[in-house]
Amino acid sequence: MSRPAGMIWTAGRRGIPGVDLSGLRHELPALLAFVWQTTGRRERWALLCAAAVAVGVGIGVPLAVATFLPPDPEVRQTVLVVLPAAWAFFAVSILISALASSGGRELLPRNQLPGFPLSPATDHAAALLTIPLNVAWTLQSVSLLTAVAVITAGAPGLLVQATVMTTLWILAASCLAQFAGWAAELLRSTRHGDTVLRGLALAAVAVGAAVVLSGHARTVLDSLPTTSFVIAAVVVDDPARFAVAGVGLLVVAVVSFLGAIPLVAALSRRSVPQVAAQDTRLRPRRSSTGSELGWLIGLDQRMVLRSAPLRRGLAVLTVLPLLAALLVPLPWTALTILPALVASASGLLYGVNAFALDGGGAVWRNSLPQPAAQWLDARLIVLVQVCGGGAIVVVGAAALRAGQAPSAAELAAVVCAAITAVLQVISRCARWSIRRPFPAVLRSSRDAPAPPVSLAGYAVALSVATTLSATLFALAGSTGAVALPVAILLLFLISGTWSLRRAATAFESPAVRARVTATVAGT
Amino acid sequence: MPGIGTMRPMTSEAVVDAAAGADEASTAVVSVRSLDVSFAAVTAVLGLDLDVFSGQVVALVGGNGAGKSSTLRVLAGVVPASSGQVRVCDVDVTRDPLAAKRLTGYCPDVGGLLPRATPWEHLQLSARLRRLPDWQPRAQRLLDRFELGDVADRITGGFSHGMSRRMSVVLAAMHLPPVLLLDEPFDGVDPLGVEATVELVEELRQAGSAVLVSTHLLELAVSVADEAIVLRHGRAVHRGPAAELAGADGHRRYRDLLSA
Repeated sequence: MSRPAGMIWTAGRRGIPGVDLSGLRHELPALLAFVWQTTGRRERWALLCAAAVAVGVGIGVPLAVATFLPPDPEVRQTVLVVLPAAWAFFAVSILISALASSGGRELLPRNQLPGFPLSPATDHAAALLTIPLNVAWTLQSVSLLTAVAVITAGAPGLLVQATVMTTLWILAASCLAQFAGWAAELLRSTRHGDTVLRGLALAAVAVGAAVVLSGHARTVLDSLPTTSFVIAAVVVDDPARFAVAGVGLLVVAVVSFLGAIPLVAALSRRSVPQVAAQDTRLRPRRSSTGSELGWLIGLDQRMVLRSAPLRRGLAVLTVLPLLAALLVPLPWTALTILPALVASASGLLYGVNAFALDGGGAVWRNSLPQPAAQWLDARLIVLVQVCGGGAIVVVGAAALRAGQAPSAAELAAVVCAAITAVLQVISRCARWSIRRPFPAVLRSSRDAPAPPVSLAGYAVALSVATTLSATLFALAGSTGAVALPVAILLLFLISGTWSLRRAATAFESPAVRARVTATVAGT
Repeated sequence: MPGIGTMRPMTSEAVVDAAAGADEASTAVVSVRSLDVSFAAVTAVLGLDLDVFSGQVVALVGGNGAGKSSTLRVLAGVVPASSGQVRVCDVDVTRDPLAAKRLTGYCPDVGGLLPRATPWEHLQLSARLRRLPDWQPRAQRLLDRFELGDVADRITGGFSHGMSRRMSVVLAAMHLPPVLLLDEPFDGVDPLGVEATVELVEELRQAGSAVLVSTHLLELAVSVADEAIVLRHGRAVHRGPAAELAGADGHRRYRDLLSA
């Protein structure tokens, strides 16, 4: 039986002040069971398959690398040099993700929680459990585990030690990021908290830019504190160092986990979602001139920028890849992957359930004398701007850092890869938005356009499709023939246009539109 | 409070002519024949016949799941009829939904507002899609009348339920439609908001609009409507003057109709 949120603060008298774990044992299994029961059969299978693949890859790839890869000192040295930066980037990326999503995703939407009052400990633990549904987290975790396997190839004992340390790093960084996410959300709920956080974010970006532009990036990377943890993970004859580092990370994980609970309790008393909903700013009135489609596009743009999760998501999706591109200069042949990453992540912000942007007003909007195609066109054009805009910024920055001028084929490959990635994301988003809409609020920072399991499925589908096409364009660019990437682009254009036409035809149906609008409006 | 009768010349002439034409020919502005509405295995409306004439207010009353909202949604063109014929100002809603939507103003039962758009942007959207000329003064007057003038440029995401309902009524009535469809317009609305809605309905009725109001609140339905139709399990179980359901006897009769 859960306690009302307001009682939590005083309830944990016998343990650590403000930390009540008593509800966790009963509430978390019940919450997980409820979410499992209310998840569709297809999503359940998809989740089980994805979990099996992730666990299989996470264990199998490092194991295979360690077992079958012949020890190569040169490769080992290269990986060892970049590993501290990779560990740090993992921590920074999930920290930014947690800060942007106000502590992370929810197993149950916040507006359903009053019916299921959960203790702060359960809320916190549930948010932690959804972290692996973040594809970026999973991919980076597998990459880190594989990297240490490469370093320890041929030494099974060292592999175990390095894997344990890497796992502890992933755990500690995740718990710490979650803690920081809740702390930021609590700060945001204060009078000037939002301004303070924006100031901190700007300062961080300014410092990062200054470091890169002044040419000190390498020095900073070489002196990262993660270096000592990496050494502790892969050095054979220093068990004391391993123990100290390992215990240190474990302590960070436990303290972060427990320390976050009072923050969640304080947040639940502040009713932050309600506070966030009270946006009383007056918006300027726009002119009614111009084309109808242009005005609808403008309205959609404003609705995107006025949504906290979308606004922050857009900022994170631009800043994170930008940071990676600026820190690690990529060759032109590798730039094709960047638009794929940015476009697919942008699509996950709201594109996979694009009509959720209309929320409860979707049914009223459907009662207006508006051609369905015009409604869909405006929505997809803004989605193209969202996906394409971020891709252009990141590719532009990476191109500047790439140094030497590209060959014509490499340039064509990058441009064609960017167009293809956006097209792939748009066509899939259009199809999913019409075929499987969800009610979604998109108001508070933790709101997502779809349930966690479905969102994870969409993330995998988008990532796989765009990464494969990016790889194809990278290969095409490396051949030196300009015509090849252009020819591949034409194939994707034909396929994407056909897919978009099918989606548009489906949306023309009044029955389909009625289902979509009623679902996203939650009626 | 400013009346809206003087605003009628500002509406599209075609819209006014449509309602007037239907009136002159003594035909119903809203004509529903053998309407069935089903959602998968659930039947929401079954064999409904309905006529609403120009200048008439009809109340749809009944319990939860009686088919009131589904009927209005079909008339508004947001849900297709499973079978039957639905005409608005002689326009077949199924065959020409866009033309039918130009003739109607619809206040949905729940929500009804884009959460990240301001009331002014809602009105602007409606006006642009309906190609209304010089709509701004009328829109501002309606906002002021429903005490929404001060929040006209705030996003509606933070609106209370009552404010949202009032705004939905404003949106439905802004273009002075020949057919006004109000689904639970009084739900959660304060007395001043109810009064403004009732007055607006009356003014539109006098201006020649056909008005359909769905509500759980029988007293308000009786006070605002000329005719009442009681729906139960998707069927019309009673139709007649709204006054027949007034007072204690009317309430008793209504309760009997719902539980029969």
